[in-house]
Order: sequence, then structure tokens, then C-alpha cells
Amino acid sequence: MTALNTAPEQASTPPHTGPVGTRPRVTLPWALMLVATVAFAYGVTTLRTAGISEYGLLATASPLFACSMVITAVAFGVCVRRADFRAGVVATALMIVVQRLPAVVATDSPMYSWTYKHLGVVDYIQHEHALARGVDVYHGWPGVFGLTAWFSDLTGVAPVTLAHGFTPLFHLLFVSLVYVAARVWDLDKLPALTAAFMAATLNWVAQDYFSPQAFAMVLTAGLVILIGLSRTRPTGVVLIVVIFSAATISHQLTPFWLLLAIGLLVVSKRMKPWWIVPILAPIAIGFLLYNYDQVDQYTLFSGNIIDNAKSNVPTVGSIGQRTTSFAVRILSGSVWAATALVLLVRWRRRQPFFGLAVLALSPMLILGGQSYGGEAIFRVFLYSLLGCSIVLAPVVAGMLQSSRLKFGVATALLSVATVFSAQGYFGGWFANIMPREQVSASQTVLAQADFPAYLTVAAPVWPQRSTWRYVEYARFNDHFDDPMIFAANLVGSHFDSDRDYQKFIETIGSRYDASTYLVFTEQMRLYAWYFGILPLDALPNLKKRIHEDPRWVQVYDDQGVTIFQHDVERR
Amino acid sequence: MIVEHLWGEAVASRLALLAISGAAAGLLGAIPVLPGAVLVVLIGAFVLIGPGSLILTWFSDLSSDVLCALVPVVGIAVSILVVSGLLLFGVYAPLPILLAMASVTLVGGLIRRHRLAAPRDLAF
Repeated sequence: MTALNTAPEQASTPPHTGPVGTRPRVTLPWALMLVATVAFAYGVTTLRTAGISEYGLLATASPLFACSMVITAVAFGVCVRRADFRAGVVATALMIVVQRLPAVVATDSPMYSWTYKHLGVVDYIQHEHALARGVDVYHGWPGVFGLTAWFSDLTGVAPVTLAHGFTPLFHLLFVSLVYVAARVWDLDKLPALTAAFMAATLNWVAQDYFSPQAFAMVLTAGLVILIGLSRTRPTGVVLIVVIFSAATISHQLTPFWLLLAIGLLVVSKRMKPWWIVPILAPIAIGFLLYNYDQVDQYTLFSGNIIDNAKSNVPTVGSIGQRTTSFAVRILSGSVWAATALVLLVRWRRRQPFFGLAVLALSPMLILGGQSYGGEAIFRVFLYSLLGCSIVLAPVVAGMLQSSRLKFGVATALLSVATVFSAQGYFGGWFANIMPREQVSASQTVLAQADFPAYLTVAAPVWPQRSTWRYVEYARFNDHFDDPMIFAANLVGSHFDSDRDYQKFIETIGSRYDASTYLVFTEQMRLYAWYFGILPLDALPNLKKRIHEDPRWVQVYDDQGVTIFQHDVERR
Repeated sequence: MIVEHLWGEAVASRLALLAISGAAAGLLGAIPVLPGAVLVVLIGAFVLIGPGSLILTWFSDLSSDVLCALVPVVGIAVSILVVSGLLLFGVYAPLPILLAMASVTLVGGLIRRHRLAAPRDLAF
């Protein structure tokens, strides 16, 4: 029976008294959380000055920063063992603070270069009061961008400021929804809180920045609540349609996964009413057809699971990057394997399992049809996190409340998982932070370059397309800002030979229709090295050669950003 | 059965009151001279509690946990559909859209509140 379908009959949780024979020490979790808070309070002050490392932020910030996460995980374990629900809620909130607040307080601007592509769309809507359909996929799925532009215009708060503070707020809302979803899917209070904690701490995949998929995940969590309530009788059909429609106009992939999951549940008679599918399917498919011209250049269906599972970083990264990648592969694999095992046990014990299996593992079916530009594998973990947390939480909570040995094992596993997740989240920190001066330079070059032009970065990563003006450039040439390294097929080059430079300059020379502005930053050097795109000396070598080449003019050089201009005589 | 019905009406009535409060925040948020931080709170409150509370007055049989969770989700969903739906049709007018949404929420909340039993009816 669904736990939360009627208000007067609140699902009652049996009072947890903790393991037999133990006397609850109610102060222990609070003391641990106090220690974690103090550790974080000091650790966070070291983040901005932490030295650059290929192993990420955990390697060079104060060890107290990493300790604060581990202590919080241990504190949560103790909370569950002591059946101290209130302290468990605080521990969950504290985990969000120690893991997600650094993205706000230790940075000048929103992280990840691709965040700025989203901000550029918002800026365009604010500037033109319209969409630029046909320019890119974002204008075809404007849900989040329209709402952000609207909110920003009304409040006067810049979208970049809203995006900067987005990550912790996303986690607070998402984790709260996971708790309620877990309750609806039959978990008692403490296991449900454990599910919420796991969703908070295991989310290494960093899909929590200002993005359509982050909003879509919030909407999805709401839908999972309603789906859980609809297992025994139709509940909130109108709400499902409203939330699903909002997800549909916001994100390309999410509604199709939701449709797949709902379809599986309906076909297996685990969701009512059956006619919800004929309502939702036309919404998702109709909107895709409306935007078909935006996506017809992509492969809409590919059965090559191996290819679809590959990430969008094809190169072999630095040792640090590979270490981080190994950690998150172990973490993701363990979460999925443990989920499958728990579901298998539930099946063997004739306990309900199919609905949970759909929730937790159906995202993997995405890999049977789409690579999503090399991002499908990340979406799979993001989507499955909610379901996996709900499947695993009763087991974890049970272990935490069991014998001392099991408690020790569960706490150790939770701590190790937290560290692996944190390494996944913070491993690429130095490659992904976007210093304010780079954001300003990006806006300046978009505003002041002689249009038309190629605003080309020497290598990824750069806050490109950060203002409304990108649309003009994209209409001139959709590839106006492709990284030069990829355009010239020069991945791995040192630029220490005339041959490399010649190949590079030939690509520039093939652009007869506009000048090229070439951007160099220190960030690019790190990012390209971290992901194995270029060796560390490549960009300094290239920059030196460009300096010596009279065809290039340096037009900008400030705070680590250098821009050269290469004029062409238009034919 | 009667108790459940009255309970549902009491919850719906409270949700309607919440919708009215959210709408009031939205209408206050339409005053552009207020400081940005105040506007963020007012308009944020409207989005997160206004439309969701109003719609959920028709779903008051759900538990309070579920209602608390769904109010902001439905509010965000409705706001996305209204603002970006209009944008897809070439309409983008932030202030009129806010005023329209807040007014509809206010009127809807008042009507629902008027039609529903007040919470004190439960005291028997």
C-alpha cells in the first residue's frame, strides 16, 4: 500500500529505539556535526588559494575540507543508528553545505564553460524579447531560459548571479523531493532520509549547475512522487501532465526517459491510469517534431550501446583525470551493481521490485538508443540516482541500525562513497572554474569584435556564447567558436615544429569570409592537459609562434587572457 | 468518511490561503522600485507557492508531505509553461505576465477559499 496517499491516515513509522541494549547518546551526532562544521569553516577558506593540481581540489585544499565530508557522513550514520531523525535531517543539509557551497563561495562566477552557453540564451531573450529559432537547440527548448530571463528582468538580478547561486538551492530542493518520493515509494522515515542523504552525497556527476537538465531533474522528482501515488489508483493525472509538459519544453532527453519509465509501469499494470501514456506521448513526440529541424543532424536512434556509453571526452587524460575517472566508475558501477543485487533479492523474496527496478535502472535503456552527444552516460547516472537511492536506502539504514560490525561496514562504505563522489565532483575543479576576468573578456570580445568574425578559442575551455550577440555570430557561421585544435585536427600536438604550426595556420587561412580572433587562457592550458587534449607546453609554444608571426596582431592581454586577431582580405 | 472530507476541505482552504499569500507576494513583486533582493524574495515566493498552492487545492486528499513537496514543483512547472509557452508564441512581457499570473492566482485563491470550509469547521 502506498504510504502517503491520504492525509488523515498518516503513515506511521514505528518508533526507532536503536539497537537493543545500547543507550542512545543523543549528543554524539551533534558533536560530530559541530566538528564537521568547524572543519568546513576552516577548509573552505583554503579553497581559493589551493594550488592547482591534476587531482583536483581535495588534493590541495586543507585536508579539513575533505574531512568535513567524511565526518558528516559518519555523523549521518550515527544519526540513523540512534534513530535521531532531526539530527539526520541536519546532517543531510550539512552534506549539501560542505559539498555544494564551495561552488558558490570559492568561485567568482558560475563554474563550467557550458553554463555560459545557457546564460547567452537567457541574455538573448532579455535583449530581443524573442527566441532565435534555428540557431541552436537551446532556442527550441526554452523552458528554463525563458523563466530565468523573466525572473531576471523582473528582479533586476543578473542571470549570472542567479546561476552562481543555483547549485546549493538545486540540491536542497532535489534532496527534499527525494525524501518525499522515498516515503511515497513505501520507505519509512529513516530509510527515506537515508535515500535523501545518498542522493545528496553520491551526486558526483555535476549536473547541478544552471542548466535545463537540473530543472528537469527537479520536475522529475515531483513526477516520481506522483507516479508512486498512482501505483494503486490514478492520482494527480492533471499534475503529471502539467509537470511533464514543463519538462518537455525545457529539456530534450528527460521527457523521453520519463515516457519510457511510465510506459513500462503502465504496461506492467503498476501505474494507473493506462491512458496517461496516450496523453504524454503526443506531448513529447509532438514537441520533438516541432523542433525536428533543430535535431535532424543528430542520430536520433542508434542501437550501438558501446558507442552510446562513451563519454564526450575521447582523449586519454592526465594521471589525475584518470584517477578521478576510475573513482567515479567504481562508484557508479558499485551503486548500479548493489541496486541490481538488492532488486534480485527482493524478487527472490517475492517482494515488490519491478516498479523500483524501472525507477532505478530504466535510465540505462537510454544507452540502447542515444549517445546524446557523448553525454548519455552522465545522464544515466543522474536519472538513476533517485531510484538507486530509494532501492539501496533500506539496506543501508538496516545495516546502520544492526550489529556494530554491520554499522561499521555501512559507515565505512558511506564514507568511502562520499570521498569517491567528492573526488568525482571536485577532481576537475581547476579545469572547470571560470574566473571573472575570463567571463568579462568573453563578453568584451563578443561586443567589440569586428563582425563578422570567428571568435575562436585555441583549445577548450572558455565562457563562450555568454551574451546575446553570439546569435549574430552563430547565424554567420554555426562553427564560429569551434576550438582551433579540433578544427585543425591538431589534438596532441606540441606546436614545437614548423609542421604543426603550418597545419594550424592553413586552417586559419582557409577562412576567407571573416577575420579570426584567437583566444588563449591559462585555463585552456590546464583543461587541455587535464583531459589529454594537448600537452602542457603546447599552448605556450603556439602562443610564442603567433607572437612572432606578423600576420597576427595582439588585441587583448589582461589577467591571463590573450587575444590575437588575424585579418583576412575578403574574397 | 465525513472526517476525511472535512480534513480535505480544511487542507484545501489552507492551500487557498497560501495561494492568496503567494499571489500577494507576486503583486508586490510587480513594484519595480523595490530593492532587487526584496523582489527576488517576493517573486521567488510567488513562483514557489502561488500557482502550485492554487492547483493543489483540488488535490487536498494528498498527504501534507506530498503537498509540501509538490507545491514548488507545480509552481515552477506552471511558470515555465506560461512564460516560456508564451515565448514560443513570440510573446515576452515580464511585468504583464507577472501581473496576470498573480491576479489569476489571487482571484482563484479567493474563490476557492470562499467555497471551501474554514479550518474551524473541524472543531466538532
